[in-house]
Amino acid sequence: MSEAKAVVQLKAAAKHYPRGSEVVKALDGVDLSIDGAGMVAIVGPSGSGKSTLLHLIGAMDRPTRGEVIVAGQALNALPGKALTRFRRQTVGFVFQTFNLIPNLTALENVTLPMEFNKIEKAERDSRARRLLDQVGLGHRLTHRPGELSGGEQQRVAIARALANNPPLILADEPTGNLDTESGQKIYELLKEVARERTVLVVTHAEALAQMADRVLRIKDGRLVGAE
Amino acid sequence: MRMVVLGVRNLLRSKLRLLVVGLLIGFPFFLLLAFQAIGAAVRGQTEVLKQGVDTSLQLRAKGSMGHVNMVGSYRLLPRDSLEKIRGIEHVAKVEPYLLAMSPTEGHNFAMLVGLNVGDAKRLESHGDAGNPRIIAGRDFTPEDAGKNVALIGQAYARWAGITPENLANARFVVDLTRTHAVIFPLNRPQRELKIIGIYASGYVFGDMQLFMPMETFRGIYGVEKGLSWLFVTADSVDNVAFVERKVREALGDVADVISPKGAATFTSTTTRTVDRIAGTVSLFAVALMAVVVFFVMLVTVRERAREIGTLKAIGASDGGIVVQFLAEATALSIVGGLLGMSLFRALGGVGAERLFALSMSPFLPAQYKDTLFASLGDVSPGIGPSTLALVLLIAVLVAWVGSGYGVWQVTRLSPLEAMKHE
Repeated sequence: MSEAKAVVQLKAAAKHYPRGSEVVKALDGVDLSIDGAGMVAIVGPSGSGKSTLLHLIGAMDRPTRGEVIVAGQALNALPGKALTRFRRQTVGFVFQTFNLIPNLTALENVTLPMEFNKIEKAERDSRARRLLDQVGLGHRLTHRPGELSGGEQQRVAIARALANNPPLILADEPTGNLDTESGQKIYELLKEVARERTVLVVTHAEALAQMADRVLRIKDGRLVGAE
Repeated sequence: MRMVVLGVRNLLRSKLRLLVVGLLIGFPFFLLLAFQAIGAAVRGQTEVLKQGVDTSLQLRAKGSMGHVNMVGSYRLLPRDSLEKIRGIEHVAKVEPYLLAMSPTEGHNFAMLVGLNVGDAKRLESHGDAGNPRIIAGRDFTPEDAGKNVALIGQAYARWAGITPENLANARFVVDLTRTHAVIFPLNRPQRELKIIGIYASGYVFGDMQLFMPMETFRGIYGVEKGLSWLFVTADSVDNVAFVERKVREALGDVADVISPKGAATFTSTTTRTVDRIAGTVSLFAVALMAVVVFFVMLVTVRERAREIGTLKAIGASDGGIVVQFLAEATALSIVGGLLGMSLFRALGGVGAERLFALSMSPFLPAQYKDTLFASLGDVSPGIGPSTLALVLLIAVLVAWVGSGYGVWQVTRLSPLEAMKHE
């Protein structure tokens, strides 16, 4: 695979945390390259470093050492404002706990990233309606998160992640708070999304991981296998 | 602009939360308004009370009663005392008097007083009382200055055989040769005075006086210089102490200065107590409001650290997040302020009375307490829009500091750290 075309590239990326007098090596020298559209599952036991890996790729956190390059941008070198722009335009995040803004409607939650990206109101509204329609929530536009089920909230979150049409979607245990049936639907939705972009999904669920185009296995902060 | 709208909309996330936070901010607001109102109402009332408080200092020659014919006590104030005192700041009025005693059969003695005809007719045994009521004839007029005329107390008139019925032809002979154990005679000619009026003071010694024009007195008693008493009136109760100090400096050791106890009590207790307590509690209320608003805002931000992390994760700028929270803080403190004002409008009268009873009342002299308490009845409309605007501005500024500090603490973190910050 060509490094120049890689959507995600990690070179000896490490993340260490101090905990009292000890140092926790959440990620310990990971080399990784992901290119093209498709769904990539990152699996591993709790505390193995899979979420940390996702956070470094999404500029949610900075590596202790090593390089993280996403869509041609070396994140280590980016100043604060550029990182904000990166999160706004290059990645879309889907959280385990949905993290929707509670007092905004589904439609407003989806338009919010577009507002940050200074997209015109008419365009924002039409795109948000289309996205919510795509995720099967065209009839729930004016509902607030508290009025939606967990599966519906996660679908709103996926629509929000897609709002600025980023090349990379990062999903951290997106089915962790959902029942099996809802989780299955979310995975199918993410799989559909992955037709046009890269979707990185962190999961415990081996069965769901098998739906991915590629599976990365991680243990004790290191990649231990790829399928 | 959108972030401002989002911030304001955040108020309505939970009506219960809005009510609780609003009340937290509103209560010190209420306290501040109540004490401002108490202070204003009581200050207004004390201004009225001040007008009834005697602000006159009485001056006599050092160690003397100041009577011109009293055995062992006939030293007088130097005549230039008058000019020295008139030049003192905050002196509203200076009234000079000359006094002499005259024996009577029924009573030990009567008092003859020389005064400027426009000045207060002060009663010797009650020096702070003046201008007794004329019950027959007329009072002095400016034309009486220097003339052989007099006003006589009703008891002294009775002793002299003068009644309202014979007043038209009443005459009184001043005989300086008459003596008493404490009165020495003066070898001066008698003088006949026309009695123009009879006064009544309400008590017997007060009614044993005879008032005559100052120059008439000087002519009768041969007192060319000097004064028995000087009454110096300060322009307000607040300036009595100042005037007293300046009078002592001006006259040195030649005079005894007797200051009014009422003025001292009023000044040292009522006015200062009201000012100090109202000022202290208002400051306390402002400080309480500042602390409450600061911490409410800080907690409001911190409990939403995860949300801030989410906003950062989906591309919100730090500046945009700050604007959103400052807008929310502004709206919240305005709601709290309005709630405090509404509470004050609804409960201001009752609240002010309770607070007054708890805070100021125990420190005020009993004779003023009830009057001041009564003045709290119309406490509600006493707060001006400028005061309200100022207090609201302080609340908003403190809210900005609290909210801004909290947001700054969270936004400087990475999105992940911010989400874990709570």
